[in-house]
Amino acid sequence: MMWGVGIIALLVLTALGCQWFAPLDPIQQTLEDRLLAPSFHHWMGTDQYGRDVFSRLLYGSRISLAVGLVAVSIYVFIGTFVGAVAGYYGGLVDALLMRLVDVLLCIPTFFLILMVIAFVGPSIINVMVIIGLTSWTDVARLVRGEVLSLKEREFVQAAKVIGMKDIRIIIKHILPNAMGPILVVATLGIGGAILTESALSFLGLGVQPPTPSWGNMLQEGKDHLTDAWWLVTFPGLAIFITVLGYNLLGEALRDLLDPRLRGSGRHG
Amino acid sequence: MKKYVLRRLLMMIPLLLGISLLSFVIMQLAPGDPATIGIAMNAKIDPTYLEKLRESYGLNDPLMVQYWHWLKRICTLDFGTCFGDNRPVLTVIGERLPATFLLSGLSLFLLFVLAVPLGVAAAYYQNSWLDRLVSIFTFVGYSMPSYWLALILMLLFGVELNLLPISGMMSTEADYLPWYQKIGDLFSHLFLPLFVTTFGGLASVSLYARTSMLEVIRQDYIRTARAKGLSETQVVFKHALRNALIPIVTLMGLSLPALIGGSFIIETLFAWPGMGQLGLEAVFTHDYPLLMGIGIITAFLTLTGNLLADLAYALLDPRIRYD
Amino acid sequence: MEFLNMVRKIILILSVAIVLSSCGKVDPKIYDEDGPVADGDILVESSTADARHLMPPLVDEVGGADIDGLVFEGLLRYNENLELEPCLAEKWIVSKDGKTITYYLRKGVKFHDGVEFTANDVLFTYKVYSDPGTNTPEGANYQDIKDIGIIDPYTVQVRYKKPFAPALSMTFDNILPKHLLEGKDINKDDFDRHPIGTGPFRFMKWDTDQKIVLEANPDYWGNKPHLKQFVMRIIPDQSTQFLELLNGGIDCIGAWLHGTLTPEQYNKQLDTPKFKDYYKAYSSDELAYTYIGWNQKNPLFKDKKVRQALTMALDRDAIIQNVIYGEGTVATGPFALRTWAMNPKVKAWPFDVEKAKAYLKEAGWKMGKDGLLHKVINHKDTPFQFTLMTNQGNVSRERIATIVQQQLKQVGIQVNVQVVEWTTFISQYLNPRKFDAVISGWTISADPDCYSIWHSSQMGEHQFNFISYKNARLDELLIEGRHTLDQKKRQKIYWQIHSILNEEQPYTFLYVPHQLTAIHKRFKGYHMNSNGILTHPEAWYVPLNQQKYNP
Repeated sequence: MMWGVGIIALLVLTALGCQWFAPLDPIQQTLEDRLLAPSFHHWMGTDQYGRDVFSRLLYGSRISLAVGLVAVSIYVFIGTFVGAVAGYYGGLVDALLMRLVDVLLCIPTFFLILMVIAFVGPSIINVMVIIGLTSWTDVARLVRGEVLSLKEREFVQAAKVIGMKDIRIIIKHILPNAMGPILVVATLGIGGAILTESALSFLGLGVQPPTPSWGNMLQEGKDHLTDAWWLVTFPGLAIFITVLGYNLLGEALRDLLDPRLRGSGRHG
Repeated sequence: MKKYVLRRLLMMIPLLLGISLLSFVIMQLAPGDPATIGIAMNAKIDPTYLEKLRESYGLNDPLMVQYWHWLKRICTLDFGTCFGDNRPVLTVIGERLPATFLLSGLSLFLLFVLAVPLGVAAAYYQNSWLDRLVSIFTFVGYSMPSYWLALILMLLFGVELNLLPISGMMSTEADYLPWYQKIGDLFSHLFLPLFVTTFGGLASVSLYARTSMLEVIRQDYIRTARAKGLSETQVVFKHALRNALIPIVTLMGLSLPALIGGSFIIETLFAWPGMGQLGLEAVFTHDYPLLMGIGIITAFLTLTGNLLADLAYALLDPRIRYD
Repeated sequence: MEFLNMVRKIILILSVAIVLSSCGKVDPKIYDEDGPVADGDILVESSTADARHLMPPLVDEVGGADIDGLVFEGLLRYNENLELEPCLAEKWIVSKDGKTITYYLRKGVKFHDGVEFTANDVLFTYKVYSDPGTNTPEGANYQDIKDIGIIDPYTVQVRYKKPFAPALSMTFDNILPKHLLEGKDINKDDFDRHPIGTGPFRFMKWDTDQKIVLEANPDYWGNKPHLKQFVMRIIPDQSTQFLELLNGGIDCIGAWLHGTLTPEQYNKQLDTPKFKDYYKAYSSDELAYTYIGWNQKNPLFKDKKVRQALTMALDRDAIIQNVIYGEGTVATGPFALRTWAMNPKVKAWPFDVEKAKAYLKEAGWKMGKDGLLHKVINHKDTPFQFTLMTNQGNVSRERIATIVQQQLKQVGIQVNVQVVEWTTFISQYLNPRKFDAVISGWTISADPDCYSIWHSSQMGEHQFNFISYKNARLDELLIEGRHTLDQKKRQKIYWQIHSILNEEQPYTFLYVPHQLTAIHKRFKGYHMNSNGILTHPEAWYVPLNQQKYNP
């Protein structure tokens, strides 16, 4: 699915280079130019403070990319650690950790994130960290499963006999085999993190204005649904296309890594 | 089997305790206290009123004492009263559950009825145009921010075309309509929120169904069935589908937390009076008893749902036995 | 296959149901015509939050207060000019020493359950509000009452320890029925969910978080309401609320209930046919003002000349234009515009950058090489810079902060803007007085008493004089103003208060925002004046041929 790769590449470029691509300052308020429709001068129109929507959109891509990468990195790290430890050591450690996972799974993740952010105070750092701290359960389960199935294999037994330290065994031998599924989950997760951040910003609990984030652009624009459609359409499309890109990429990776799914169904 | 169910039920207790502790800890992260919200800057208010509120909320007790009080009351199923309007938490939650159940239940039903056949068909006709169409369609649903879709639909169907109501559960005049029109009114209000809620879930469920079906179809016993000369219908429905459904049931069970928590933003946008909207309000007003109540009840329903899903799993797959 | 068939059938049934439930469209031109007074129809208004209590002493937010305003009545009430007029009391007499108010009650008034209203209910109301066990925010208003005497079933005498001027408007504004509440636990009684008063509308039902329905009181002592019902629909999201207005799901915003169109909606939407054909829009003054509060403990703001300069450096008209699309009026004091307390001789400080610079210079500030003003304070060279704070969630205030930042840069002052979440704002900055300057707003009432905001005794941690302003003369006047019942004397006092506040500029009073109201054209018979007060809901009506609902 080269579409996915293409979209992502475009996004990364935009995020990194937005200062050069953006025609205008995303924060500068030009109050005389409020709510202008898309035109040659302002490709996507202006918002209620006279700020250029296109420029804000470009800068917003930075936030999305940052949140996606950081949040996912955090939870992949935590999840891998927890899953590996639980799977490798088993017994009481495993039981305790899995109970922790169960507790987290009982509360709708978004609700948990919402509560914590509302109490701790919204900011982009908090959003990244909180998403990271609450979404590691899938990765943990995945890694645990992989570790469990690999732990009894010969090469692991051999390494143990040699006297290799546990951590080295885990890192050098077991984890690399789990990398594939982890990568798939991570890629799909970036899309999810972006959706979560935009939902939080939409509620006013994420990135604070005037820093542009696609979510808070939607929040500021929804009062103008009937008279300034461009305020809501473009950020929404941006989120949609970005998340689509990551999802396509993730699914393509999954198909690549899982040979079981190739082949026909009908004529067996 | 009975022992298994019993064990699972007993396991719920420490889990629920863990959740309550987690929620309680999270709430202490908030600066200020609930008495401050909304009241603080009203210059006409008697200054002793804030103190009275704090006292009645028990906020002046040390933390562990507060938690202990709360825990004691839970054992008698007394979830306390909301800070907001002084009514019992259970009553308030009880008022909202039906609306969320209606929306989520119908959504779940629609997912099963629409997404599963779609996924199965896509798997069966793998790589055909149908498969690709379903993929595209579901990816779109998966990637779209639901609240954005909600706003667009509200604008389109509500304001521009004026076909559907855009908020609330019933119209103002619904009280005076005959029963059949009342149902119609309810459904017309359900339409948009249901569409938005279901659209997002379609992708994952149909994708899952497709994957599951694909795996099953490749199995030896399917090839055997065909070799035996059974008709395609029999192969598909009697053998393949039944087995493919098993993991789907589990998936349904796992989507329960999301369903029960309600879709916070969707319910708020559509003024649908369910648990999601209640949860959002409770978070913004720092209504601790209500939040704890919602947390525990949501968790309880989730755990129960998981148990039911596991039991259904055991029923469907004779190879699974719990002891 | 059966699945698909079932799905098809469901869709068919749903479509038919939807078609059945949608109503026909009416040509909007008929709403422009007037028509003879008729009974019937429902007024549907929305609120973003549900009421929490309907038991008047427990009410601490606007939702409940608005509904109670229709269900309950007080001894007196305000008319369109914000003057007190008789309501449940036909006449009232204030004694010469100001310590006794005698109310002559209206006869033949019935509560919604048919029981007659008498002086006993007034005494009972006092007992409830003054009881320290009642969780009421309004207890302080009844503190100065010494006792109440019942002269006869329709005459009540309220005796005060000291004359208390706000008494007439702040006490006995919701009379409770003694026969229903005596001996009950006020904080927990079911009356909170099923209120019974004497007002023009009576409570019908409350679907929590969906709507509250009131119906006309056919036994009302005054003119019987023409509208059959008043419905408050709860729509939490503001943009959904406006869409519902355009969709016809609600009839008005900001009419009887608190609420307002946003200035952008007011400016941009009104010309669209969807709005113009069906709704009328009004702009009136809110009973509120927005200000910048300067922390008097901060050495930067100690000098009066500096504060005056700050005010002159701000172009308040531009702020109003840019932040709220011109929908506001420059404020000079903490009183409702066009009421007796406003001193006509007080003029707003002009926008004058040169004069501001001159005043700052006089106060000892010199322009430094970094483009900022500098002064030696406590033996340290200090640049003029401070942090301006405001709370999250209020778009206007955040915009004001940015503009103030830009404008003060012109005179060499560096402003750092900090926007903080509401509870954090209150508990970590405001209450402990850890701030330089804040942008905030106050809601005010028609009574000008503002003791709790300006008196030097109100500087304690949770109290409202959080800028720590101390002025002995002002203190005297504030106390006198509270305890003078002679209207002419009182006016002189408040005019002086207004003068002092304008001279001293402890706040820079920014503006009084406009309340922007939209009402469906089919409603007639109401008067919307510059104070935005809609009185006499019983006078509203819809001509028969224009009525929408038929309950």
